[in-house]
Amino acid sequence: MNALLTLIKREFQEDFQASRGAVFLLIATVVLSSFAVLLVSNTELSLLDNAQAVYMMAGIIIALAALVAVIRGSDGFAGERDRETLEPLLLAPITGRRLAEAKLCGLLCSWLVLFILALPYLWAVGSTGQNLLPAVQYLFLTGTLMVLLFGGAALALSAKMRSFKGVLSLGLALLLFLGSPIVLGPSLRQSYVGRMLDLANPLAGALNTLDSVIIDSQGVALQLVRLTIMIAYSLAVLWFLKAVTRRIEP
Amino acid sequence: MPAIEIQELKKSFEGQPVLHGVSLTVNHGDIYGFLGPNGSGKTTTLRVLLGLLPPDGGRVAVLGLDPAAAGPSLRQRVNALPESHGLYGWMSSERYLNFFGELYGMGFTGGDYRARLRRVGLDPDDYRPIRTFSRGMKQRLGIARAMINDPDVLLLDEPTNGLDPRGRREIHDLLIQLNRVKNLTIMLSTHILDDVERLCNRIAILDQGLVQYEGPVHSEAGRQRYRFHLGNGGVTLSSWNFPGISLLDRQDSWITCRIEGGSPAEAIKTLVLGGLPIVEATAVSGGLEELYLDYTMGGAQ
Repeated sequence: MNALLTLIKREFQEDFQASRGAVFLLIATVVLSSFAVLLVSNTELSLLDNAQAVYMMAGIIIALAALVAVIRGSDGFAGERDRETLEPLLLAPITGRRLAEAKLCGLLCSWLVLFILALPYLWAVGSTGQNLLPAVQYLFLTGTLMVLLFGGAALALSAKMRSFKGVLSLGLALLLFLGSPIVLGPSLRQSYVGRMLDLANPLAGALNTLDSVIIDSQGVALQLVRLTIMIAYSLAVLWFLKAVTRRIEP
Repeated sequence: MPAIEIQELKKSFEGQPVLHGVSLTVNHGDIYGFLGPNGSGKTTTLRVLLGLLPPDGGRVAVLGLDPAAAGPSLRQRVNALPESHGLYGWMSSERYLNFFGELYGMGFTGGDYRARLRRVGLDPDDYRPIRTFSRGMKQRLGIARAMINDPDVLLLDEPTNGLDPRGRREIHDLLIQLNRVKNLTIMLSTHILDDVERLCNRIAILDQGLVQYEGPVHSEAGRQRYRFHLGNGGVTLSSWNFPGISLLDRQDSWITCRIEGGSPAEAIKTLVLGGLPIVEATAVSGGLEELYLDYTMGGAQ
Protein backbone atom coordinates (compact mmCIF):
# COMPACT_ATOMS: atom_id res chain seq x y z
CA MET A 1 0.00 0.00 0.00
CA ASN A 2 1.11 3.54 -0.73
CA ALA A 3 2.90 5.11 2.29
CA LEU A 4 0.55 8.12 2.32
CA LEU A 5 -2.52 5.87 2.41
CA THR A 6 -0.93 3.79 5.17
CA LEU A 7 -0.37 6.92 7.24
CA ILE A 8 -3.91 8.23 6.62
CA LYS A 9 -5.33 4.84 7.58
CA ARG A 10 -3.37 4.94 10.84
CA GLU A 11 -4.56 8.50 11.58
CA PHE A 12 -8.17 7.43 11.01
CA GLN A 13 -7.78 4.25 13.06
CA GLU A 14 -6.16 6.17 15.90
CA ASP A 15 -9.11 8.55 15.91
CA PHE A 16 -11.86 6.00 15.85
CA GLN A 17 -10.37 2.83 17.34
CA ALA A 18 -8.28 4.29 20.15
CA SER A 19 -10.15 5.66 23.16
CA ARG A 20 -9.70 9.29 22.12
CA GLY A 21 -11.98 8.71 19.11
CA ALA A 22 -14.80 7.52 21.36
CA VAL A 23 -14.30 10.55 23.64
CA PHE A 24 -14.43 12.89 20.64
CA LEU A 25 -17.65 11.34 19.32
CA LEU A 26 -19.24 11.42 22.77
CA ILE A 27 -18.39 15.09 23.37
CA ALA A 28 -19.60 16.10 19.89
CA THR A 29 -22.87 14.21 20.39
CA VAL A 30 -23.45 15.76 23.84
CA VAL A 31 -22.77 19.30 22.57
CA LEU A 32 -24.98 18.92 19.48
CA SER A 33 -27.79 17.19 21.40
CA SER A 34 -27.77 19.80 24.17
CA PHE A 35 -27.91 22.64 21.69
CA ALA A 36 -30.66 21.02 19.60
CA VAL A 37 -32.75 20.39 22.72
CA LEU A 38 -32.23 24.03 23.78
CA LEU A 39 -33.33 25.30 20.38
CA VAL A 40 -36.60 23.37 20.40
CA SER A 41 -37.47 23.44 24.11
CA ASN A 42 -36.21 26.74 25.54
CA THR A 43 -39.07 29.25 25.72
CA GLU A 44 -37.17 32.10 24.07
CA LEU A 45 -34.98 30.11 21.66
CA SER A 46 -37.96 28.14 20.40
CA LEU A 47 -39.49 31.44 19.22
CA LEU A 48 -36.64 31.91 16.73
CA ASP A 49 -37.65 31.37 13.16
CA ASN A 50 -36.51 28.20 11.49
CA ALA A 51 -33.64 29.75 9.48
CA GLN A 52 -32.26 31.43 12.61
CA ALA A 53 -32.24 28.08 14.43
CA VAL A 54 -30.41 26.39 11.54
CA TYR A 55 -27.87 29.23 11.44
CA MET A 56 -27.20 28.93 15.18
CA MET A 57 -26.80 25.17 14.88
CA ALA A 58 -24.41 25.61 11.93
CA GLY A 59 -22.41 28.17 13.92
CA ILE A 60 -21.99 25.72 16.78
CA ILE A 61 -20.83 23.04 14.34
CA ILE A 62 -18.25 25.43 12.80
CA ALA A 63 -16.95 26.40 16.26
CA LEU A 64 -16.75 22.74 17.26
CA ALA A 65 -14.92 21.87 14.02
CA ALA A 66 -12.38 24.68 14.54
CA LEU A 67 -11.84 23.63 18.16
CA VAL A 68 -11.34 19.96 17.24
CA ALA A 69 -8.97 21.00 14.41
CA VAL A 70 -6.86 23.05 16.84
CA ILE A 71 -6.70 20.23 19.40
CA ARG A 72 -5.97 17.53 16.82
CA GLY A 73 -3.53 19.73 14.89
CA SER A 74 -1.62 20.57 18.10
CA ASP A 75 -1.36 16.86 18.81
CA GLY A 76 -0.18 16.12 15.25
CA PHE A 77 3.57 16.37 15.78
CA ALA A 78 3.99 17.79 19.31
CA GLY A 79 1.70 15.14 20.83
CA GLU A 80 3.57 12.36 19.03
CA ARG A 81 6.81 13.93 20.25
CA ASP A 82 5.47 13.90 23.84
CA ARG A 83 4.41 10.25 23.48
CA GLU A 84 7.81 9.48 21.90
CA THR A 85 6.18 7.94 18.83
CA LEU A 86 7.47 10.55 16.38
CA GLU A 87 11.06 9.32 16.06
CA PRO A 88 10.25 5.89 14.58
CA LEU A 89 8.03 7.64 12.02
CA LEU A 90 10.81 10.06 11.08
CA LEU A 91 13.15 7.08 10.62
CA ALA A 92 10.86 5.63 7.94
CA PRO A 93 11.55 6.49 4.28
CA ILE A 94 8.92 9.22 4.10
CA THR A 95 9.34 12.98 4.04
CA GLY A 96 8.09 15.38 6.69
CA ARG A 97 5.71 16.82 4.12
CA ARG A 98 4.17 13.40 3.52
CA LEU A 99 3.61 13.07 7.25
CA ALA A 100 2.00 16.52 7.34
CA GLU A 101 -0.24 15.64 4.38
CA ALA A 102 -1.38 12.47 6.11
CA LYS A 103 -2.09 14.30 9.34
CA LEU A 104 -4.04 16.97 7.48
CA CYS A 105 -6.09 14.24 5.78
CA GLY A 106 -6.69 12.78 9.25
CA LEU A 107 -8.04 16.16 10.38
CA LEU A 108 -10.33 16.31 7.36
CA CYS A 109 -11.58 12.78 8.12
CA SER A 110 -12.45 13.89 11.67
CA TRP A 111 -14.30 16.89 10.23
CA LEU A 112 -16.18 14.62 7.82
CA VAL A 113 -17.28 12.41 10.71
CA LEU A 114 -18.39 15.46 12.71
CA PHE A 115 -20.26 16.80 9.68
CA ILE A 116 -22.10 13.49 9.13
CA LEU A 117 -22.88 13.35 12.84
CA ALA A 118 -24.30 16.90 12.68
CA LEU A 119 -26.64 16.26 9.71
CA PRO A 120 -29.51 14.69 11.73
CA TYR A 121 -29.35 17.58 14.20
CA LEU A 122 -29.53 20.14 11.39
CA TRP A 123 -32.44 18.24 9.92
CA ALA A 124 -34.16 18.13 13.33
CA VAL A 125 -34.05 21.90 13.81
CA GLY A 126 -34.49 22.94 10.18
CA SER A 127 -36.46 20.34 8.25
CA THR A 128 -39.68 22.35 8.23
CA GLY A 129 -38.13 25.59 7.03
CA GLN A 130 -36.30 26.89 3.98
CA ASN A 131 -32.59 26.91 3.01
CA LEU A 132 -31.66 23.65 4.74
CA LEU A 133 -29.87 22.33 1.62
CA PRO A 134 -27.78 25.49 1.03
CA ALA A 135 -27.07 25.53 4.77
CA VAL A 136 -25.66 22.00 4.56
CA GLN A 137 -23.64 22.81 1.41
CA TYR A 138 -22.12 26.01 2.79
CA LEU A 139 -21.55 24.43 6.18
CA PHE A 140 -19.48 21.74 4.48
CA LEU A 141 -17.53 24.29 2.42
CA THR A 142 -16.81 26.79 5.20
CA GLY A 143 -16.20 24.02 7.74
CA THR A 144 -13.63 22.41 5.47
CA LEU A 145 -11.86 25.76 5.03
CA MET A 146 -11.88 26.37 8.81
CA VAL A 147 -10.43 22.91 9.47
CA LEU A 148 -7.70 23.48 6.88
CA LEU A 149 -6.94 26.89 8.34
CA PHE A 150 -7.00 26.18 12.07
CA GLY A 151 -5.87 22.57 11.84
CA GLY A 152 -3.10 23.42 9.37
CA ALA A 153 -1.85 26.30 11.55
CA ALA A 154 -1.87 24.14 14.69
CA LEU A 155 -0.11 21.34 12.80
CA ALA A 156 2.59 23.74 11.54
CA LEU A 157 3.16 25.08 15.06
CA SER A 158 3.31 21.56 16.45
CA ALA A 159 6.01 20.66 13.92
CA LYS A 160 8.18 23.48 15.27
CA MET A 161 7.29 23.69 18.97
CA ARG A 162 8.37 20.98 21.40
CA SER A 163 5.40 20.64 23.73
CA PHE A 164 1.80 19.74 22.98
CA LYS A 165 0.53 21.97 25.80
CA GLY A 166 2.44 24.95 24.41
CA VAL A 167 0.99 24.50 20.92
CA LEU A 168 -2.50 23.90 22.27
CA SER A 169 -2.38 27.05 24.42
CA LEU A 170 -1.24 29.11 21.45
CA GLY A 171 -3.84 27.56 19.13
CA LEU A 172 -6.70 28.11 21.57
CA ALA A 173 -5.55 31.70 22.17
CA LEU A 174 -5.60 32.28 18.39
CA LEU A 175 -9.06 30.75 18.15
CA LEU A 176 -10.37 32.94 20.99
CA PHE A 177 -8.74 36.03 19.47
CA LEU A 178 -10.40 35.39 16.12
CA GLY A 179 -13.67 34.47 17.80
CA SER A 180 -13.84 37.59 19.96
CA PRO A 181 -14.96 40.11 17.27
CA ILE A 182 -17.97 37.90 16.61
CA VAL A 183 -19.35 38.85 20.00
CA LEU A 184 -19.18 42.58 19.20
CA GLY A 185 -22.55 44.30 19.45
CA PRO A 186 -24.57 44.83 16.23
CA SER A 187 -23.92 48.59 16.11
CA LEU A 188 -20.15 48.15 16.45
CA ARG A 189 -20.15 45.49 13.77
CA GLN A 190 -21.88 47.90 11.39
CA SER A 191 -19.14 50.49 11.89
CA TYR A 192 -16.21 50.73 9.48
CA VAL A 193 -13.82 49.13 11.97
CA GLY A 194 -16.31 46.37 12.71
CA ARG A 195 -16.84 45.64 9.00
CA MET A 196 -13.07 45.53 8.39
CA LEU A 197 -12.58 43.19 11.36
CA ASP A 198 -15.35 40.96 10.05
CA LEU A 199 -13.83 40.91 6.58
CA ALA A 200 -10.29 40.18 7.76
CA ASN A 201 -11.34 37.54 10.27
CA PRO A 202 -11.75 34.11 8.65
CA LEU A 203 -13.93 32.76 11.47
CA ALA A 204 -16.27 35.75 11.18
CA GLY A 205 -16.16 35.24 7.40
CA ALA A 206 -17.44 31.68 7.78
CA LEU A 207 -20.26 32.67 10.12
CA ASN A 208 -21.24 35.69 8.02
CA THR A 209 -21.36 33.47 4.93
CA LEU A 210 -23.73 31.08 6.74
CA ASP A 211 -25.80 34.06 7.96
CA SER A 212 -26.02 35.44 4.45
CA VAL A 213 -26.99 32.10 2.87
CA ILE A 214 -29.29 30.70 5.56
CA ILE A 215 -31.04 33.77 6.96
CA ASP A 216 -30.86 36.26 4.07
CA SER A 217 -31.14 33.63 1.29
CA GLN A 218 -28.38 35.38 -0.69
CA GLY A 219 -26.70 33.69 -3.66
CA VAL A 220 -23.12 32.61 -4.30
CA ALA A 221 -22.14 35.93 -5.95
CA LEU A 222 -22.46 37.72 -2.62
CA GLN A 223 -20.29 35.14 -0.88
CA LEU A 224 -17.33 35.36 -3.27
CA VAL A 225 -15.32 37.99 -1.40
CA ARG A 226 -15.59 36.22 1.93
CA LEU A 227 -14.92 32.80 0.39
CA THR A 228 -11.89 34.18 -1.48
CA ILE A 229 -10.47 35.58 1.75
CA MET A 230 -11.01 32.27 3.55
CA ILE A 231 -9.41 30.33 0.69
CA ALA A 232 -6.46 32.76 0.67
CA TYR A 233 -5.93 32.25 4.41
CA SER A 234 -6.13 28.48 3.98
CA LEU A 235 -3.61 28.50 1.13
CA ALA A 236 -1.24 30.69 3.17
CA VAL A 237 -1.48 28.26 6.09
CA LEU A 238 -0.85 25.27 3.80
CA TRP A 239 2.21 27.02 2.34
CA PHE A 240 3.47 27.69 5.88
CA LEU A 241 2.86 24.06 6.81
CA LYS A 242 4.76 22.89 3.73
CA ALA A 243 7.69 25.17 4.60
CA VAL A 244 8.01 24.14 8.25
CA THR A 245 7.69 20.40 7.61
CA ARG A 246 10.64 20.32 5.22
CA ARG A 247 12.64 19.11 8.22
CA ILE A 248 10.99 17.82 11.37
CA GLU A 249 13.19 17.20 14.38
CA PRO A 250 12.43 14.43 16.87
CA MET B 1 34.33 2.34 2.08
CA PRO B 2 33.37 2.12 5.78
CA ALA B 3 29.73 1.66 6.80
CA ILE B 4 29.83 4.83 8.90
CA GLU B 5 32.42 7.57 8.78
CA ILE B 6 32.35 10.71 10.91
CA GLN B 7 34.99 13.41 10.67
CA GLU B 8 35.14 16.42 12.98
CA LEU B 9 31.38 16.42 13.63
CA LYS B 10 30.21 19.52 15.46
CA LYS B 11 26.74 20.22 16.81
CA SER B 12 25.35 22.87 19.15
CA PHE B 13 21.93 23.46 20.66
CA GLU B 14 20.97 27.08 21.34
CA GLY B 15 24.61 28.12 21.28
CA GLN B 16 25.63 25.34 23.69
CA PRO B 17 28.15 23.05 21.95
CA VAL B 18 27.37 19.34 22.41
CA LEU B 19 29.74 17.75 19.90
CA HIS B 20 33.12 19.44 19.55
CA GLY B 21 34.59 17.49 16.64
CA VAL B 22 33.68 13.83 16.85
CA SER B 23 35.54 11.49 14.50
CA LEU B 24 35.04 7.74 14.25
CA THR B 25 34.82 4.95 11.71
CA VAL B 26 32.59 1.87 11.73
CA ASN B 27 33.46 -0.86 9.26
CA HIS B 28 31.02 -3.17 7.52
CA GLY B 29 30.12 -6.10 9.75
CA ASP B 30 31.30 -4.39 12.94
CA ILE B 31 29.32 -4.47 16.15
CA TYR B 32 30.52 -1.13 17.36
CA GLY B 33 30.00 0.02 20.94
CA PHE B 34 29.40 3.69 21.49
CA LEU B 35 29.99 4.52 25.13
CA GLY B 36 29.86 7.65 27.17
CA PRO B 37 28.27 9.23 30.21
CA ASN B 38 24.83 10.87 30.13
CA GLY B 39 24.88 14.08 28.14
CA SER B 40 28.12 13.24 26.35
CA GLY B 41 26.44 13.50 22.93
CA LYS B 42 25.77 9.86 22.01
CA THR B 43 22.10 10.30 21.08
CA THR B 44 22.87 13.53 19.21
CA THR B 45 25.53 11.69 17.19
CA LEU B 46 23.09 8.88 16.37
CA ARG B 47 20.43 11.41 15.31
CA VAL B 48 22.90 13.14 13.00
CA LEU B 49 23.78 9.73 11.51
CA LEU B 50 20.08 9.09 10.90
CA GLY B 51 19.58 12.47 9.22
CA LEU B 52 17.21 13.62 11.96
CA LEU B 53 19.49 16.50 12.97
CA PRO B 54 21.67 18.54 10.61
CA PRO B 55 25.34 18.82 11.65
CA ASP B 56 26.82 22.27 12.29
CA GLY B 57 30.18 21.21 10.93
CA GLY B 58 32.25 18.24 9.86
CA ARG B 59 31.52 15.37 7.52
CA VAL B 60 29.19 12.43 8.06
CA ALA B 61 28.73 9.48 5.69
CA VAL B 62 26.54 6.41 6.20
CA LEU B 63 26.97 3.77 3.48
CA GLY B 64 28.78 6.48 1.54
CA LEU B 65 25.83 8.89 1.64
CA ASP B 66 25.28 12.14 3.52
CA PRO B 67 22.31 11.41 5.84
CA ALA B 68 21.16 15.05 5.87
CA ALA B 69 20.89 15.11 2.07
CA ALA B 70 20.07 11.50 1.15
CA GLY B 71 16.72 11.39 3.00
CA PRO B 72 14.34 8.51 2.30
CA SER B 73 16.71 6.61 0.00
CA LEU B 74 19.20 6.15 2.86
CA ARG B 75 16.49 5.44 5.43
CA GLN B 76 15.42 2.48 3.30
CA ARG B 77 18.82 0.89 4.11
CA VAL B 78 19.36 2.08 7.67
CA ASN B 79 17.18 1.73 10.74
CA ALA B 80 17.39 2.43 14.43
CA LEU B 81 15.93 1.65 17.80
CA PRO B 82 15.65 4.92 19.75
CA GLU B 83 15.94 4.89 23.51
CA SER B 84 12.18 5.41 23.79
CA HIS B 85 10.14 2.58 22.34
CA GLY B 86 7.81 4.78 20.29
CA LEU B 87 5.06 2.17 20.19
CA TYR B 88 1.34 2.78 19.63
CA GLY B 89 -0.30 1.44 22.78
CA TRP B 90 -3.63 0.77 21.09
CA MET B 91 -2.24 -1.45 18.31
CA SER B 92 -1.49 -5.16 18.49
CA SER B 93 2.11 -6.22 17.83
CA GLU B 94 1.32 -7.73 14.43
CA ARG B 95 -0.57 -4.64 13.33
CA TYR B 96 2.29 -2.43 14.50
CA LEU B 97 4.80 -4.35 12.40
CA ASN B 98 2.35 -4.39 9.51
CA PHE B 99 2.06 -0.58 9.67
CA PHE B 100 5.82 -0.08 9.47
CA GLY B 101 6.19 -2.83 6.87
CA GLU B 102 3.77 -0.92 4.63
CA LEU B 103 5.57 2.39 5.29
CA TYR B 104 8.80 0.79 4.09
CA GLY B 105 6.97 -0.76 1.13
CA MET B 106 8.14 -4.25 2.10
CA GLY B 107 5.19 -6.16 0.61
CA PHE B 108 5.21 -8.77 3.38
CA THR B 109 2.44 -11.29 3.95
CA GLY B 110 0.82 -11.97 7.32
CA GLY B 111 3.09 -15.01 7.66
CA ASP B 112 6.19 -12.83 7.25
CA TYR B 113 5.13 -10.56 10.11
CA ARG B 114 4.38 -13.54 12.32
CA ALA B 115 7.81 -15.01 11.57
CA ARG B 116 9.46 -11.72 12.47
CA LEU B 117 7.59 -11.57 15.78
CA ARG B 118 8.64 -15.14 16.52
CA ARG B 119 12.27 -14.27 15.72
CA VAL B 120 12.39 -11.67 18.52
CA GLY B 121 10.67 -14.04 20.94
CA LEU B 122 7.14 -12.62 20.77
CA ASP B 123 4.01 -14.72 20.37
CA PRO B 124 2.35 -13.84 17.04
CA ASP B 125 -1.01 -15.04 18.39
CA ASP B 126 -0.90 -12.44 21.15
CA TYR B 127 -3.39 -9.80 19.97
CA ARG B 128 -3.45 -7.77 23.17
CA PRO B 129 -2.83 -4.02 22.78
CA ILE B 130 0.84 -3.09 23.08
CA ARG B 131 0.14 -0.94 26.16
CA THR B 132 -0.39 -4.16 28.15
CA PHE B 133 3.07 -5.50 27.21
CA SER B 134 5.95 -5.72 29.67
CA ARG B 135 9.00 -3.52 29.12
CA GLY B 136 10.95 -6.47 27.74
CA MET B 137 8.21 -7.32 25.24
CA LYS B 138 8.11 -3.69 24.11
CA GLN B 139 11.87 -3.71 23.64
CA ARG B 140 11.65 -6.87 21.52
CA LEU B 141 8.89 -5.36 19.41
CA GLY B 142 11.02 -2.23 18.98
CA ILE B 143 13.87 -4.38 17.70
CA ALA B 144 11.50 -6.18 15.32
CA ARG B 145 10.38 -2.76 14.03
CA ALA B 146 13.99 -1.64 13.62
CA MET B 147 14.67 -4.79 11.55
CA ILE B 148 11.52 -4.48 9.41
CA ASN B 149 13.38 -3.19 6.33
CA ASP B 150 16.26 -5.67 6.64
CA PRO B 151 18.72 -2.78 7.03
CA ASP B 152 22.42 -2.85 6.22
CA VAL B 153 23.17 -0.63 9.21
CA LEU B 154 21.33 -0.74 12.52
CA LEU B 155 21.77 1.90 15.22
CA LEU B 156 20.62 0.88 18.69
CA ASP B 157 20.25 3.25 21.62
CA GLU B 158 20.26 1.32 24.90
CA PRO B 159 18.70 -1.83 23.39
CA THR B 160 18.79 -3.93 26.57
CA ASN B 161 17.77 -1.20 28.98
CA GLY B 162 15.26 -2.58 31.49
CA LEU B 163 15.54 -6.20 30.37
CA ASP B 164 16.11 -9.03 32.84
CA PRO B 165 19.31 -11.12 32.42
CA ARG B 166 17.54 -13.77 30.34
CA GLY B 167 15.95 -11.12 28.11
CA ARG B 168 19.31 -9.43 27.66
CA ARG B 169 20.97 -12.70 26.74
CA GLU B 170 18.26 -13.40 24.14
CA ILE B 171 18.69 -9.96 22.59
CA HIS B 172 22.48 -10.47 22.55
CA ASP B 173 22.04 -13.80 20.76
CA LEU B 174 19.66 -12.24 18.25
CA LEU B 175 22.05 -9.38 17.45
CA ILE B 176 25.04 -11.73 17.14
CA GLN B 177 23.02 -13.96 14.82
CA LEU B 178 21.95 -11.02 12.64
CA ASN B 179 25.51 -9.76 12.52
CA ARG B 180 26.96 -13.13 11.54
CA VAL B 181 24.26 -14.38 9.19
CA LYS B 182 23.35 -11.13 7.44
CA ASN B 183 26.63 -9.26 7.98
CA LEU B 184 24.58 -6.52 9.60
CA THR B 185 26.61 -3.55 10.83
CA ILE B 186 25.47 -2.58 14.30
CA MET B 187 26.29 0.57 16.24
CA LEU B 188 25.29 0.18 19.84
CA SER B 189 24.99 3.07 22.26
CA THR B 190 24.80 1.79 25.80
CA HIS B 191 25.83 2.22 29.42
CA ILE B 192 25.80 -1.52 30.05
CA LEU B 193 29.42 -2.57 29.71
CA ASP B 194 28.51 -6.25 29.82
CA ASP B 195 26.57 -5.74 26.54
CA VAL B 196 29.65 -4.19 24.97
CA GLU B 197 32.04 -6.89 26.18
CA ARG B 198 29.75 -9.61 24.92
CA LEU B 199 28.76 -8.07 21.61
CA CYS B 200 31.22 -5.52 20.31
CA ASN B 201 34.48 -5.90 18.47
CA ARG B 202 35.31 -2.18 18.50
CA ILE B 203 34.28 0.75 20.65
CA ALA B 204 34.41 4.50 20.90
CA ILE B 205 34.25 6.31 24.23
CA LEU B 206 32.67 9.74 23.97
CA ASP B 207 33.05 12.33 26.69
CA GLN B 208 32.54 16.07 26.69
CA GLY B 209 31.60 15.99 23.01
CA LEU B 210 34.81 14.32 21.83
CA VAL B 211 35.84 10.74 21.10
CA GLN B 212 38.36 10.05 23.87
CA TYR B 213 39.13 6.50 22.78
CA GLU B 214 38.46 4.47 19.66
CA GLY B 215 39.73 0.96 19.18
CA PRO B 216 39.27 -2.66 20.17
CA VAL B 217 37.25 -3.52 23.27
CA HIS B 218 40.09 -5.42 24.90
CA SER B 219 42.72 -2.83 24.27
CA GLU B 220 46.32 -2.81 25.42
CA ALA B 221 45.58 0.71 26.57
CA GLY B 222 43.37 -0.81 29.23
CA ARG B 223 46.07 -3.15 30.44
CA GLN B 224 48.97 -0.70 30.57
CA ARG B 225 47.98 0.60 33.97
CA TYR B 226 50.45 0.52 36.79
CA ARG B 227 50.28 1.33 40.48
CA PHE B 228 53.49 2.70 41.92
CA HIS B 229 54.43 2.90 45.58
CA LEU B 230 56.61 5.90 46.27
CA GLY B 231 59.26 5.73 48.97
CA ASN B 232 59.93 8.34 51.65
CA GLY B 233 56.16 8.72 52.20
CA GLY B 234 55.67 10.01 48.68
CA VAL B 235 56.62 13.36 47.19
CA THR B 236 54.76 16.56 46.53
CA LEU B 237 53.83 16.82 42.88
CA SER B 238 53.30 20.39 41.77
CA SER B 239 52.84 19.37 38.13
CA TRP B 240 52.86 16.20 36.05
CA ASN B 241 55.21 16.44 33.14
CA PHE B 242 55.94 12.94 31.88
CA PRO B 243 55.04 12.62 28.18
CA GLY B 244 53.37 9.31 27.35
CA ILE B 245 52.44 8.60 30.98
CA SER B 246 49.06 9.76 32.31
CA LEU B 247 48.43 10.20 36.01
CA LEU B 248 45.09 8.58 36.76
CA ASP B 249 44.92 8.65 40.53
CA ARG B 250 46.95 9.59 43.59
CA GLN B 251 46.37 8.43 47.16
CA ASP B 252 48.96 9.03 49.90
CA SER B 253 52.19 7.44 48.66
CA TRP B 254 50.50 5.50 45.82
CA ILE B 255 50.00 6.75 42.29
CA THR B 256 48.20 5.04 39.40
CA CYS B 257 49.36 5.77 35.85
CA ARG B 258 48.51 4.69 32.34
CA ILE B 259 51.43 4.12 29.99
CA GLU B 260 50.39 5.37 26.55
CA GLY B 261 53.45 4.19 24.63
CA GLY B 262 56.69 2.31 25.19
CA SER B 263 57.42 -0.44 27.65
CA PRO B 264 56.69 -0.35 31.38
CA ALA B 265 60.42 -0.54 32.11
CA GLU B 266 61.09 2.59 30.06
CA ALA B 267 58.22 4.36 31.78
CA ILE B 268 59.53 3.46 35.24
CA LYS B 269 62.97 4.70 34.25
CA THR B 270 61.48 8.00 33.08
CA LEU B 271 59.57 8.43 36.33
CA VAL B 272 62.59 7.63 38.50
CA LEU B 273 64.83 9.99 36.51
CA GLY B 274 62.10 12.57 36.87
CA GLY B 275 62.43 12.40 40.65
CA LEU B 276 59.80 9.91 41.72
CA PRO B 277 61.21 7.47 44.31
CA ILE B 278 59.47 4.34 43.05
CA VAL B 279 59.92 1.36 45.35
CA GLU B 280 57.24 -0.93 43.99
CA ALA B 281 55.33 -1.27 40.70
CA THR B 282 52.21 -3.37 40.19
CA ALA B 283 50.37 -3.95 36.92
CA VAL B 284 46.65 -3.24 37.35
CA SER B 285 44.35 -5.50 35.41
CA GLY B 286 42.24 -3.16 33.28
CA GLY B 287 38.98 -4.40 31.86
CA LEU B 288 36.49 -2.38 29.89
CA GLU B 289 35.22 -0.73 33.03
CA GLU B 290 38.71 0.58 33.83
CA LEU B 291 39.10 1.76 30.27
CA TYR B 292 35.74 3.52 30.41
CA LEU B 293 36.51 5.17 33.74
CA ASP B 294 39.94 6.28 32.55
CA TYR B 295 38.51 8.07 29.56
CA THR B 296 35.41 9.54 31.10
CA MET B 297 36.60 10.85 34.47
CA GLY B 298 39.33 13.14 33.31
CA GLY B 299 41.78 10.28 33.32
CA ALA B 300 42.83 10.83 29.73
CA GLN B 301 45.02 13.87 30.19
